[in-house]
Amino acid sequence: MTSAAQVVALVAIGRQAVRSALAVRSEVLVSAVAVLVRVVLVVLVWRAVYAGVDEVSGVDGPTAVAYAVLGAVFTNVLNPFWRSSLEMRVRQGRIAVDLLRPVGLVPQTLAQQVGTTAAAVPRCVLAVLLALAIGALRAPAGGALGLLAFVVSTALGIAVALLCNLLVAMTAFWTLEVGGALMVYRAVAQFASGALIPLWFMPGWLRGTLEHLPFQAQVFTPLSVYFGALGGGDLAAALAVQALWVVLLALLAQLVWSRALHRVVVQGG
Amino acid sequence: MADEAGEAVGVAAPAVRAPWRPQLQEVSPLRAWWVLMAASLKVVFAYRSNLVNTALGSVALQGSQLLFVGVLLHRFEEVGGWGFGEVALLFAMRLCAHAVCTVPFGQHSVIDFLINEGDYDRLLLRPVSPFLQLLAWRFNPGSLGDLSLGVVVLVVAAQLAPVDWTPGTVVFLVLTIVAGGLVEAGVQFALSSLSFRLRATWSLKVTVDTTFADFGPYPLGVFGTVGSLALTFVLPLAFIAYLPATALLGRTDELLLPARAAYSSLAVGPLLFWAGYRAFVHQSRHYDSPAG
Amino acid sequence: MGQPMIRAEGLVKEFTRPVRRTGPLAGLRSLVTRERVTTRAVDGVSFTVERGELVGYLGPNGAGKSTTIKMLTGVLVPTSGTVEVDGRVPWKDRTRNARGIGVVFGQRTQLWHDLPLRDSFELVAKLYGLDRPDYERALGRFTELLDLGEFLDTPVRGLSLGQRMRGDLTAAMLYGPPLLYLDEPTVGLDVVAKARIREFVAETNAVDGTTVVLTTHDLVDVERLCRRVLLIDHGEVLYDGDLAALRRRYVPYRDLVVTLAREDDGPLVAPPGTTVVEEPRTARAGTGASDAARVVAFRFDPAQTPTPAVVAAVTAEHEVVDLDVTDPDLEAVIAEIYSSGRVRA
Repeated sequence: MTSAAQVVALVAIGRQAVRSALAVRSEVLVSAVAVLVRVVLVVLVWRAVYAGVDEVSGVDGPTAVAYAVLGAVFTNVLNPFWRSSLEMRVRQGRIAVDLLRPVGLVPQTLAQQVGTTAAAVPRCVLAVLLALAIGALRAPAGGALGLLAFVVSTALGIAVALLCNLLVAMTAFWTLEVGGALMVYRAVAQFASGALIPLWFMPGWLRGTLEHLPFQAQVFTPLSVYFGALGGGDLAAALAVQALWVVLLALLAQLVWSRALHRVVVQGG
Repeated sequence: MADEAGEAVGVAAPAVRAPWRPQLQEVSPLRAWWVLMAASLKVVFAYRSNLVNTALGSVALQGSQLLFVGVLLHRFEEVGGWGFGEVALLFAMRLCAHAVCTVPFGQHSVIDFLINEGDYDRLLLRPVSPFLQLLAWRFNPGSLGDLSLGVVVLVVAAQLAPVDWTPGTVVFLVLTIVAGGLVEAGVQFALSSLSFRLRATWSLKVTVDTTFADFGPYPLGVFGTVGSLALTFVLPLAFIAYLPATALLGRTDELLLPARAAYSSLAVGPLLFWAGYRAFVHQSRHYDSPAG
Repeated sequence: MGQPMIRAEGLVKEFTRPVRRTGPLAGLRSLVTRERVTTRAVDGVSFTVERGELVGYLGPNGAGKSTTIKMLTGVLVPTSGTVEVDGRVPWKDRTRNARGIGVVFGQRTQLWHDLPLRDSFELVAKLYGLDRPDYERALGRFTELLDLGEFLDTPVRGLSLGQRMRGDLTAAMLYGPPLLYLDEPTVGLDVVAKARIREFVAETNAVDGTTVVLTTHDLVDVERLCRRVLLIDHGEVLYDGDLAALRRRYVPYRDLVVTLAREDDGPLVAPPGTTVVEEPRTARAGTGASDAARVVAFRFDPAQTPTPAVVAAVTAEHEVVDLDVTDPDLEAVIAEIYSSGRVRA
């Protein structure tokens, strides 16, 4: 199979994921309403938190509110509650069929995740528009260049999140009881990525710990870029750290995958 | 009817056997529920590692919110005028009420699956209320995580919160937690009932569940007048923990409602629970078994 | 006979489903439109089943069989028409109806997947109010009849399909229901397992007097077990009656199959009242005929031309080494009825 044909196949898988994410009308509507309600509620909470306070840990109220909005939107895209298709297919024993396809299983899974992520974009656009309408969000710091840096950082953040999801999903090859691990992962990722509360507010020891984990590269780094919290040198360093995580996690995924393949081939799916 | 047996079909008669027509006893719904629940528990405890895994998952999920609230209060000292001990009590009451909902009634979450896969047929073939069978379909070990974390946080929070604990307040606390659980269960039952028509209510239920979990630990005042009313009368979050907590903490003066409302969850809980159950039974008439 | 076991009159079931769209932006378009389509799965079905009968309920896929069974068992509420089972309306009096019926679906087990088979039986006994001595007696009997002993303590998920099916049958009969519905009970089973299931069904019907309604695609099941069949297609009853009469009515011919002594391939003389049907066949073993021997069939209507007359005429005309008289198999009969779509016997 040529690489062009493989790309076509992956695009088809991604599009199928978009379609199935949008297949049930009530689900689409509920997911959209859910993220809008969440945005309103986090805005209310953070405005209440900042009532009568100007600045805490060097962060002012409007920034904290806007951060919370974007955190909610990022979580909605990056950390969906549903399980990865990979785990389900291992569980149902359909993995053998997937392995026979001319496109690698890892690209298949990633294409599916990208598709599911893409399906979340329209509702997130709505959420951002709502936040703008109620004055809870402002344009990114640093003009066009700042926007570009934010887009790059977001893309890297999404890559980190997809790779982390993939790694967790691949534990399905070793145990059929992935449910608990996924819940723990989701909870840790949500907190440690800074999606719930920025690392700025965390006590020094906690922030120090989280900065060594890949999660902060998913949400906290892009949002820091958005709010212009990182100067020239720091910005470059932050993007480099994100890129490093992408490379490290990709290598790790490759390693785990070859072990998993070995396991499937030797012991049967 | 047994004596008509022989003449009906001309299959060669095997060795003489008595027709099998035992006398069946009546089985009470409660007993049937317990028989099924005991079987589900047996399955869960047979897979110990899954039990531990899933319980830990639930602890992590609820714990991340606890951590968030903890960090928030560490920096800001109060939210909506409530200090650390007060918010901790509110959080613990909400989580315990959640466990009261999930431990015995958590299986409402499989209703989509049962309906779409046709397993609901199986419930209808048994001489037991399908609703009770649904509740006992499987036991979700995650609910034990909710319960353990809830109890631990409650014990700690009870000491941090400025409440004068007397036998009366303790009894009120326990009753009110049960009532809060019934509120949540009633809401989830009502949402489950939509499954018979919509086929997919999972997102809706998860959305309500996470809204309760993520926005339950705040005094309602932070959501403003419209928000407070919405979280009282549209999505009855206030009845789960906030209203009774104002009674315990002597903060009923901040309510938009009369102070008596702080005690209303004791009545609202059972009422919503019953209404949710009725909605489920009513909507289940629309069940269309999937083809095949 | 008294009150029939099952009485269905003008039974109709309609399903309304949203239309699924295809093409570009299908997802978005189905968000804003609300198109629904109504289909009639069962369209005015009427029949009665007497106590102690063993009835085959047949039809191609999508004919409305499962939907009918689901209305009889109380799973589905009919759109219109009436149904009574043992004097009760199943969907109204669902719990009492459930205590009086056993249901087995070949495709889907009703046992507890993660528990040993024995646990499923105990659960059934408790749920149906079977007391301990009766339970022990029943379990003993079915263990012997269906040879369950070896896998009583195996979790259901570890059972073979045949073992699971025997488990499901036991669970359905443990509390001695007077009526048993079997939906594809032999699907996917090997020959030995099929035979065992059939034997059990026959015995249940003969000894206990259990009324049995059997849905199947395996016509051997029908030939071995059912005297009466109900044929349904497009939601309507095409035939209700005797299996032998069904054959006579729809495919009124019989074949005299002969193996010719010589391999001459010239035209054959067909005696009056017969036609020659030449399909590739091989000679039966043990006749001494070579593999290349020519085998042909003379097709005739036994009502017009008696079988002995045909045999005499054919053997007078041709030198044969073997002959056999065959009825068309049930499969051919049923295929003939479905394709001609003849309505009502």
